[in-house]
Amino acid sequence: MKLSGEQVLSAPRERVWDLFNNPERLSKLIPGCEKLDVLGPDEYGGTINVGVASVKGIYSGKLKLEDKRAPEHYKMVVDGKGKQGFMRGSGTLDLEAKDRNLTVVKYNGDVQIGGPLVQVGQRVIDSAAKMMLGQFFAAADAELKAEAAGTVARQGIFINFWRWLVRLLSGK
Amino acid sequence: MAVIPKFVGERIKRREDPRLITGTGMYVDDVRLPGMLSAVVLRSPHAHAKINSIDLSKARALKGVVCVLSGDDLRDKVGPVPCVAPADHVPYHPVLAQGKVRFVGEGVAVAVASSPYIAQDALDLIDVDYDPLDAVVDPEKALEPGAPVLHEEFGNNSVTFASVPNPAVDEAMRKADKIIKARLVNQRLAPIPMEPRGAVARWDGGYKQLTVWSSTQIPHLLRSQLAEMLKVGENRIRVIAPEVGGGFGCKLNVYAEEALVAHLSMTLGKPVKWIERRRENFAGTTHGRDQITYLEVAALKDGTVTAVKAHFVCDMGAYLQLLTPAIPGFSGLMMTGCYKIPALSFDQQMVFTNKMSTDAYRGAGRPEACYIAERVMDMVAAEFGLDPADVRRKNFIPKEAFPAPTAGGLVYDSGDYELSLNKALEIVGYQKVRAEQEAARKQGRYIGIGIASYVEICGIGPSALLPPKLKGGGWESATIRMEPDCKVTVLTGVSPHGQGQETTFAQIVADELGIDIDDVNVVHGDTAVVQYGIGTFGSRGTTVGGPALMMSVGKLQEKMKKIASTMMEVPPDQLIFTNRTVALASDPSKSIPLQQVVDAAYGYKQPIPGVEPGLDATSFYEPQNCTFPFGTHVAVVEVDPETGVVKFLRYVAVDDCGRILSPLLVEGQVHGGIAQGIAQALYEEVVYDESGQLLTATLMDYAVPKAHMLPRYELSATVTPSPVNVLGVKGVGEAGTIGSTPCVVSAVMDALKPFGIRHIDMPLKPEKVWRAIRDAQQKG
Repeated sequence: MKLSGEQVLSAPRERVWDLFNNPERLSKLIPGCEKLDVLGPDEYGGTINVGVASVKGIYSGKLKLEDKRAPEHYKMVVDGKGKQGFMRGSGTLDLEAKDRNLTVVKYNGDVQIGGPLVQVGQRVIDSAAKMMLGQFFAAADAELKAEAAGTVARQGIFINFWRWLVRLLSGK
Repeated sequence: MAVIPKFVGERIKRREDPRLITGTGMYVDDVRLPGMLSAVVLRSPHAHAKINSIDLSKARALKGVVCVLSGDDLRDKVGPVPCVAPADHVPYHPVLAQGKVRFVGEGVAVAVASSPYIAQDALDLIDVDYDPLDAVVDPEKALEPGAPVLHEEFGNNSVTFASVPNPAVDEAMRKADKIIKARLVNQRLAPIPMEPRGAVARWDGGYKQLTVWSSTQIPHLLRSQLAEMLKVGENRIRVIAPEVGGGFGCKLNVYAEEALVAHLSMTLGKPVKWIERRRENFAGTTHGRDQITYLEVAALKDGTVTAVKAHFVCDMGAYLQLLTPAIPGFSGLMMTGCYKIPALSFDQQMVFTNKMSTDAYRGAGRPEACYIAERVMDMVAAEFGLDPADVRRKNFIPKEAFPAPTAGGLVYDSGDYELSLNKALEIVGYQKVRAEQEAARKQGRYIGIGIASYVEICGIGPSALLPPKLKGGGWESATIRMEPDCKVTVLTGVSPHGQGQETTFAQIVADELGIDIDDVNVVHGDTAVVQYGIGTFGSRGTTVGGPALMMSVGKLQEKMKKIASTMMEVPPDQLIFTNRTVALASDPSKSIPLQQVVDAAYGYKQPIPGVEPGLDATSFYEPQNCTFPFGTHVAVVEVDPETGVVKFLRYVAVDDCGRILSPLLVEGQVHGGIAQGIAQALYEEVVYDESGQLLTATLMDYAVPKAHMLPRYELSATVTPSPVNVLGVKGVGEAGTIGSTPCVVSAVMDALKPFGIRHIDMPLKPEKVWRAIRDAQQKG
């Protein structure tokens, strides 16, 4: 199955890059992700719980990041299996700064899916994959916005503090 | 006393059906034995992978699990799955994979437990470490250098290359007005019996007796192969084929699971059952067809075809099942169809791919051949602007030419092809339909008329035609036993599973012995009861099993006549059997009750010189030739250019299966056959993706036609008895499948003629038809 497309995320490229390299934060964004552990440098192990059509199950596997060029590019290699099948494949992720606060994420992957997962679910597997990607990017965007809002909020506190201090010192 | 009617030729309802439609028949899954265990097979999710290791420990520890084995545990314990057909490369085919898997669905491990659910749970605990390898799915790509090799020991993916050259073909090509070239694909199909496979085995250690219930078409041949795989004497194995819910060729085989349950029962000392599930059936039961044919046809302007040359690429799948490499041969030999094409040459490249094995499927090689022959006729007609019916007439083997030797080296027994064509065209009202077609085209409606005249091989056959390694030849056996109460038991070596010989054979015996049809019980499918027989496939049940029965009937009649002649003091040759009596032919009122003759044979109170007691006769019939049924099918369809949907307007089938013993059963066979043939033309196709994953593994994804997807059949027949056998029958199990596929494709292509479309590969799904129309319109 070939998966490619692009999504615009509302954050500067560096922040997107940071997010995409943080397993703890990522694990909350990946639909059905139950666990994502660091196995080594750029190597993660985890389990996800997904259902496609009537084929539901837990898949465990490894994810490796290769060809890293911060903050613009890496390649993901995925190898996972569960009772209902397996997934293997790789994909690239390219981040382009659209403007100061917008990043275009281009993804391009080729995943091989096998076992009952594809035998039963092949009619819906493409749309299921797209749906999961959609969920992931929506969650990522929300996370980035929340992060930005948090920063602004922190900045707000700082600015307010500064203004208060200035006012205090200026005696106004 | 009521007069007993004659039964042969009458529309008799199948005597098998009441038990089948009331749920009182017994299938393999109905076999329930005390202490019986269930086996479930773990199957490979990979099309091609190295097995690094298999961890069975967790599965073995599960409560309720009796035993879990992988391929390595069975090394040297169970022999390989047999292929008896000759091929250059016959790979070792273990019952469970050893070291490597080669197709999705290949058995990797088996779990045995007190219930199938526990066994399934155990499979989930098996950890197989695979190292995936590149797979090859396209048979043409499998031949290219650098393609992944399935069986390393052979160095490449060639199974066999067979060539039948003929210099006369080149000569004809030089003299032809036109050489027409084409590439035709007979797509891969799944046979889909309504009852999947299944097997139960029980080893009675004290008696050293193994009983195997299997949903098979060939109980005796299976027994022979199991004996070899398990190293158990054939006299210690009893194979029972209970009700078999459809076979269509896919149960003319010996499968790993049959040997597996037998081995498990012998080692565990308990009965073991394995029942195939639908997804396993799609992935692990043999498929059919899957041939690509490159054609060159030499034709003259008047429509005469002077030579056909073909190159076949035949996809055999990952391993060779019982007859896998033997099937394409029929396609080559029968490629000239009903036509007097003088020169034929062909070669066949058979190929390993990472898919399930192909093997016999309803028609087995002949549907492919007929499809080729009929596409040739249509292409010649299109090329020279001739009527496709006329092109067929021009090339038909004339009825005077029979017995007719063919370019393929066969001798067709009897036929009148033009009669069948004329009759079909007359029923459909050919000229009128052509005029309607013309009128419809002016209104922007696309009606097509398709014709297919087929001939096929049935009643297989002389033993020399079957592979030498197959234990048992092409003959068939029958025993007839007149029981002391004047009721008759027939033991037939064929193994009907829908063909209805319990009805047909009872009709024959009742007529021959002058008794009622209900006085006859036809027994089959149990090797402990029935003498060795070959089984049911290739439309041979009545064509080969019938004459064997007639031989035994004859022996029984002869003996009873001898007895009656002594009792009646008339010469035996003046006696006939009628109305439960033995009577004088010239004056049937002079008779003695049949029961008195039977009493004399069994009681034997007054011994008759030269006559042994009892009434029992067994015969083995070896046919001298195959039979060659034929016919013409005509379809009228309408194609909706906006959607590509094909709608049937008419479907006429004129079949000639020789003498018709049981008209209702013949019609039933034709109905089912046409449905399966139309399925190939329009709907069905086994699809693997390029990595070898099976995408059509459920009945949601594989388009077995439903009733509304099929036309109303208008059936008729011509009767040209076969000179090959005493009954004059030819066989009709596969005829419908063979005639219908090219007929429907021909009709759709005829409908698309205004678009300049000459050929689309099957199945002619709406999407494909729509695309072809759109492409043609964009080009135009």
